[in-house]
Amino acid sequence: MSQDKKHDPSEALELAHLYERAPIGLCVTDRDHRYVRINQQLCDINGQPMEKHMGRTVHEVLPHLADQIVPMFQNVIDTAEPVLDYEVRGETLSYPGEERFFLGTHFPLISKAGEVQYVHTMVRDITDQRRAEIALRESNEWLEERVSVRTEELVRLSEQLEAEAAKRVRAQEEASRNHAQLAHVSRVRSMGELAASISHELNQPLAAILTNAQAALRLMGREKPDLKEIREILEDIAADDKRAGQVIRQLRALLQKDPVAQETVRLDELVSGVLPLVRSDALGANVRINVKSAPNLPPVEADPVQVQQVVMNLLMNAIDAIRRLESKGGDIEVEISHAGKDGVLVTVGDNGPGIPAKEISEVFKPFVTTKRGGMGMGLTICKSILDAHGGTISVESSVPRGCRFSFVLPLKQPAAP
Amino acid sequence: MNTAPQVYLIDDDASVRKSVTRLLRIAAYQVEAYSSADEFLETCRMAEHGCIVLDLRMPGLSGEGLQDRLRTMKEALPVIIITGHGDVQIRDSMIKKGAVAFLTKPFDDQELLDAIEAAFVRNRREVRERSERNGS
Repeated sequence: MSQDKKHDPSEALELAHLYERAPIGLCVTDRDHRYVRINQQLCDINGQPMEKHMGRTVHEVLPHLADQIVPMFQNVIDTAEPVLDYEVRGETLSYPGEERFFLGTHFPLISKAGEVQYVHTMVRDITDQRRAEIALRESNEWLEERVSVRTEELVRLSEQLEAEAAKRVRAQEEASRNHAQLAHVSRVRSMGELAASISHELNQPLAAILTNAQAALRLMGREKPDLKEIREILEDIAADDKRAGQVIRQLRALLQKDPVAQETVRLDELVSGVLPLVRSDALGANVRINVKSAPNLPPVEADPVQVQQVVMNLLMNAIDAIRRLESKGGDIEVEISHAGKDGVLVTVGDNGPGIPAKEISEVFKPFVTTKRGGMGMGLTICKSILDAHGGTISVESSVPRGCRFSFVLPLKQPAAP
Repeated sequence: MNTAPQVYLIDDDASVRKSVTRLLRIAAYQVEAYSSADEFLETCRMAEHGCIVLDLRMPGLSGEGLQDRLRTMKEALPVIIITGHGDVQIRDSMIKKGAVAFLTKPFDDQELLDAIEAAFVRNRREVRERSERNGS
């Protein structure tokens, strides 16, 4: 069979065709590394015409590559073992002055005597592939370098950020000092606004005391003074005096300039404490203030004066809002309730004219006010007080009737073990 | 019918109500006290002779509102204002509307008693004028 095949002329033609047309460089060299046969593709790779190869040595045809190729050819001859995928790089005449890459497979053609007679060679030009790889590697290296540069930048940035954060903390501390001052100014200011109201609150017991005292004097002027009634009068005087003292104490607490004092406080009690201070204004505007308090409210950790400041601000705003109504008079609903498990919620709702939707997002910003002559700081201060306490404040409103401010203070944290 | 003049005291502050009532009783006046203008309008059958001692700031109908209401009545009693607010504007407007006196708390007992006496004088004159008009 093999005999037949060997002499089959069509098979010889096919092989010749394959040798000439296969898209790969092929050649046969003898034991002296002279070209015995070569196809056009390899001639093109080597950059020399076919006649310049035949009978000449690898050294003569490829002076720049021979040092890499010849020892390997010799190895195939000496060992009769093929060499697969052997990569050679260097200059050829087809691309003078350019380094190119070739991948060769070499295998021996062994004679009947058992010795290697020829070396068959298949060569592929893999320059494009290698260059792509090199480009890729270089770009990888470039990327890695960029990454390391960026990393350094990031490290620097993060150091800057840390420095910035430290600066912020200092600024925050300063702001909180400023805030304490501002809150003080605001308290003093709203106390100024409240002065008339406070004096009303003081004048009631003072009027009762004076009238009682003078009534007692009249009784004493009689021949047989009614001592029982005089005793009652003196008791009433003492009670009204205490009541006046209470108002003064409230006033003093609001005027004190203390740093934020964390105390365990009950919000329902704080709200009750504020009511006498706004009572007169409420009466003046014919406003009823109704307070509803949920049972068993837990205490919160807060600065009582600042929280009262918030409540007072919200109440005064609500009274002012109702005062702007045509209908003369209205209601304020104050509710103190549980805010889930984490806090206590206080809402102050009025049935005043409400806040238009486009203004409602602005109300906590400084210098935003709807009140004539208002400074626009009241709600800003409320918000900063709640921020400082880890609380929140929000508002909802429906024009034309009413708006509702809500604030939440977090519960007193259980003491650390 | 010659009944003793009646003082109607309207003030929402319990201490003020109690002390003023006490003073006026010691000074031998007949006093009825009310805690709001609304309560006064609803329950009081005003005597012909007397006066009204009226606080300004109260829940519900204010003292000013009550005075406006009284002015629409034919046989209203004269009004004395007692207030914790010494607001000059309100004072002028109340006096213009016919208040006999405008007293700022705390006030002297004699000031109030004088004002009440002045109110009684005005009340007697008004009653007389009314009866003369009706009689003629």
